[in-house]
Amino acid sequence: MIAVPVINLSIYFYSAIFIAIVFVLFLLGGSRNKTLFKLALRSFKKHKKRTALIIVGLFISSTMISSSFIIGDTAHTVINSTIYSYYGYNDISIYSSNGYSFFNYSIFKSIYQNYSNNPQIETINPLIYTSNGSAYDLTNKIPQTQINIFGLPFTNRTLTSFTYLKWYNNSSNLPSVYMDLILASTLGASPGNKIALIIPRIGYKLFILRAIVSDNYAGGVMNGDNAFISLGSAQNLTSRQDQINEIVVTMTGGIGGKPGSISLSNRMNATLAEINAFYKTDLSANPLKEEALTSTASLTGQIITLFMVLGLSSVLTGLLLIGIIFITMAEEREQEMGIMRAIGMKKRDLIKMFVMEGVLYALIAAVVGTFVGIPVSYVMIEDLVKIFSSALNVIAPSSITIVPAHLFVSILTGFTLSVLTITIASWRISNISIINAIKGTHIIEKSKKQSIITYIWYALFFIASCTALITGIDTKYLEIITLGITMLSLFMAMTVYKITRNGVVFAVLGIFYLYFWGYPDLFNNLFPKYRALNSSYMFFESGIFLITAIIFIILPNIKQIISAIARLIKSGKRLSILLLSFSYISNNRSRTSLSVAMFAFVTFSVLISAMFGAMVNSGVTSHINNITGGYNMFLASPVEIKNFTYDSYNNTTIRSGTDLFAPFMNMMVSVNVDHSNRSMSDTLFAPLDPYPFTGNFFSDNKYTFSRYSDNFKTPSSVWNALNDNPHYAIVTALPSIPLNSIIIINRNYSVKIIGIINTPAFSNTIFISNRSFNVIRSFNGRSSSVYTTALLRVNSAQIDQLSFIFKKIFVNDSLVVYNINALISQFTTVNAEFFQLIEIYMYTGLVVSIAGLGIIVFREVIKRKQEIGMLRSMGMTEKEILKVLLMEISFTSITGILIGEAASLILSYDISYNNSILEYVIPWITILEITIITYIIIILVTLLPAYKASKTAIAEAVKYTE
Amino acid sequence: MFKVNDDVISAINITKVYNMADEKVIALKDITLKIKRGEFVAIMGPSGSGKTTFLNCMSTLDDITSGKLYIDGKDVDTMNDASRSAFRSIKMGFIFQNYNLIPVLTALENVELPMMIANKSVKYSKSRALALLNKMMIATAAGRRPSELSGGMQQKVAICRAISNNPAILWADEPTGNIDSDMSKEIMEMLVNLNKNEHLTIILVTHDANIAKYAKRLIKMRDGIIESDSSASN
Repeated sequence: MIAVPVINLSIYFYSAIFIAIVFVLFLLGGSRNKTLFKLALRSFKKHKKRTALIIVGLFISSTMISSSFIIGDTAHTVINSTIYSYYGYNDISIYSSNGYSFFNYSIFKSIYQNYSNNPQIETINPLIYTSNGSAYDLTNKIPQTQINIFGLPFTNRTLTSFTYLKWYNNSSNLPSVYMDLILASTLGASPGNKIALIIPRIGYKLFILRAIVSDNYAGGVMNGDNAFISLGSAQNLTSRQDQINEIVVTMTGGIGGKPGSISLSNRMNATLAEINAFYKTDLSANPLKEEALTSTASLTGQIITLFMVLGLSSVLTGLLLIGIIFITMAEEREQEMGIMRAIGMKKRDLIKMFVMEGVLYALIAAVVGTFVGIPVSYVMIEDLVKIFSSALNVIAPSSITIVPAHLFVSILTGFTLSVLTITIASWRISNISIINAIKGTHIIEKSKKQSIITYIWYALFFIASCTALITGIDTKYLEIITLGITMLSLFMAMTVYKITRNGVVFAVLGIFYLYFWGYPDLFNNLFPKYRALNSSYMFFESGIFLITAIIFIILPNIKQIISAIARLIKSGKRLSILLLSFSYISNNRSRTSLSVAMFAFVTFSVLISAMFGAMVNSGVTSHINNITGGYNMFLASPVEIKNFTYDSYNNTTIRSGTDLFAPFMNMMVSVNVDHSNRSMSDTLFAPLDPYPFTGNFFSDNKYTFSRYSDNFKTPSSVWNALNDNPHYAIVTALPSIPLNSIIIINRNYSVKIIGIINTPAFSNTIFISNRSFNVIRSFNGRSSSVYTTALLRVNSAQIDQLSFIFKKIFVNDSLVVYNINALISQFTTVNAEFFQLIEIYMYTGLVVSIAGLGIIVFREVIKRKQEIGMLRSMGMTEKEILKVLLMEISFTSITGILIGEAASLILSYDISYNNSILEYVIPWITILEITIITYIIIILVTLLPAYKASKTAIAEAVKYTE
Repeated sequence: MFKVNDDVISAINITKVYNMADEKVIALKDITLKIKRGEFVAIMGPSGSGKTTFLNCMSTLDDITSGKLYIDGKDVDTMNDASRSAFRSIKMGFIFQNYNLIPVLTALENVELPMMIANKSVKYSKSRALALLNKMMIATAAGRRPSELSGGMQQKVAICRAISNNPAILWADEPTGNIDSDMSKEIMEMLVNLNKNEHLTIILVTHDANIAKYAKRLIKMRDGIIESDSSASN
């Protein structure tokens, strides 16, 4: 549970200044024209419920922005805490560039003499560290492999200020070992137990478990499976008398101390250069903690960006809502605005009045929304921690992190977005004709001056379109070039429409958009040299234009659709309901379009998240053979295990429980492509003869090739060729290395790539034959460190039992066992939970839509009171009036939902088209759930005002005027 | 079974009381009257006399507090909402001062609508609506919305709509209140013709004595009671 957040008081300072400035400007504006000021304020007093709904609808932008910031800032805190916990007092680590190779203890003395008096340094400690050890509890006979063993001077309390949970006080001849709780639990060890610590290829030593300690070691390691012994004991265990393999430098200022380790490391490296020359070592000083802390800054930015992108559709929904609100308000006040104009009010004043009112709404909404973002992000973070805590070893936050400046930015951004949209929406009001407004005809006529302004807008839009196009061509960014083309085609359609006044032009544009944004792989073909700046922005852009495309196709042709439906209905009564509801829809085309778009965006954002999660999981599940190769267990030892297959086979449980056994020899190598200077590190996998187990990796594995050489007809012939020819190699997708290239291993052995397997289970892996492996190994002599791995298919019911047996038999080789299916299952579970959370996050947009719908229905019921009365006097029943209203709402919302769903289906198909992991699936149940849930919520929200409207007293209603 | 000359409205001791915040307002007091089929009745009275309440209660737009009301021989007080709505749809037409046309429908659709509500076939509704608009000399306005029509034309469309289902009674509440005198004359002559030629019962509420002159019978109201009920001279 996350504690209640502690907010820095300066947030109030920032917000207060901002609010004060806006209010001063607002009052100054009002004081010059008190009538305007009063008119702007009256709606707040008169329509309290509606004001509340408008604010609910408007605050979402600020909520999404502030929650993105808080999630990102908290993630930053979590990552930093994890880094502080991981490195602890290990500010600078001195070790060999060949990993943790041993070096003479006198080097430590030399460093100590040089630097111990440096005021920046608190302590310098010699250390032995290995991550390849094993432990074996002699009492319980339980092994644990690949544990971290630390040999350190216990006299120094900086690194070893452990919290002792249980301890053993009696004396013993054996040296002491301290264990963290996780390792002790795995071994079932109690203080006083005899523990064998094993170093593969070296041997073992017996220890007495002196204490079980909390996982609070502060010297550079993740929690779990850690054993601590004295430096002397470690030297004995590793047979490295007078040697160590790490020096840890702790700087002053504690774990979260002031930075400066990078510059200090540079100075130390100068010293180390002399030492390296003298001792023939290759030691370097590494300020790992400070480097890690620096690199997380970009990660925080990425997390904020991710949630910003996720929130964009809700922000967009909010902006659409503002448009709807102001169109509705303009309609409502049309007559009174006409009268105001008639008695001398300027158009500019009308806009001012609207903007003034809008500023008030926007200001309240921005502040409320930003603070609503706090509980939203709180819930999100708590769920994210739950989802990822088991998969990622991160420290759960004790509170959420609120950066006042970021909250201020959220308020400001939300406010600015709202005010900008309000100003644009209010511009329409200035076009009002006095006569038409007084008559309440809802007809907007443009004066000559306004037409000129419209042409200026057109010209600006054209310039913006061309700028986007040219910038796109110049920068080669896919987002910008596609935006340029889309804007330019919209400009052309608007121009044609202006001349022809034929709505079909938008339908044609819609079809073009659908093709341009929906046809898979089109961008790759059209713009092969362009790349996306950020693929998530690209998806968002695609979503917007796919929705726009479908709206363009449907809404200009709504009359034809209605006529087609009407032709199917023979009953006059049913048709009267349909005619009325559809006439209201088609009569308010701009508002209907905005409402449909609003529901479409909400549905799109929710469904695309759900579909993405489903596609990943389906892809992983259906490509399980490709990922696992048909195996369900992976074994890895840091050393070459002699007699690996025989020792395994000799155990009857292993023998009976194993279907396939594919052992490998492995080695880390450097790889160059065709003698180029480009070098990378890869792992060689050479399949070994599995005898006495049956089968053969070359014929048994289920990995699939993404490509293989034309010389081979079948995948199995590729594997067979690898076995036969020592100069062939099969690789996992190495970055930009094509098929049939020659690669040079360790600068002296060339192989040709005959096949590329596409599995996420391996990365940077080269499969070669056993013969080739031995040749490469012989070049390196003793310095090559060969190790052993194996892929197995075992009886899944016995997998835990077999894991235990493998670890026990090969405890001296520190063999670690991975349950592949469990890892995949963990991945799919985390993935499903994560996307479900994102789905819920996206549903916040629904709050906006529902608020919008509430405003529309409230308004419509008042506006249509007289009409409802008239319909009742003509013989329509209360039930039929309710049907008219609900049918209208249903059409708008269901059309929006279906458009959003269609856009999600198209876009997710596009995403999966070029991705070998994602598998296109249509989650019908999720689609049905989203449709039903959204629709039910909409109906529930609108049912009450619609029901009240249907119950309108007829006599009162027929005489009603607003 | 009703005969041709039967009473189309029979009201016995009708009372209407409005419950206001602190007091009860008696809008109609113990009204008893009969209106015969084919009569053209004008209801007059000063503001607040109860003439509009009378129209609302007699036409079933509003509930009565007590009394008995028979329209075309049916006790309307015993009807539920659905049957009362169906009854209104077939038996009554309404025209109001503000025309009350549905703004999102065209003139033709406005006239078609009552017939659709009465569940007449789509084909019949359309041909009848066109015939009515033609008869009223406003066929050219069929495809136009109310906002595109003058007040007089809107009221003509409203009359077409009101008579589209061949109702037994046409209720007219200040039908000429918003239109000029020439158009008012034209509208009133139309109503007289409908009454004369089609034996349509018309009950007209007005405060204008010149308009009331078109009716054959004049009922004067004051303070919720019928002050006088006599045949008016043309």
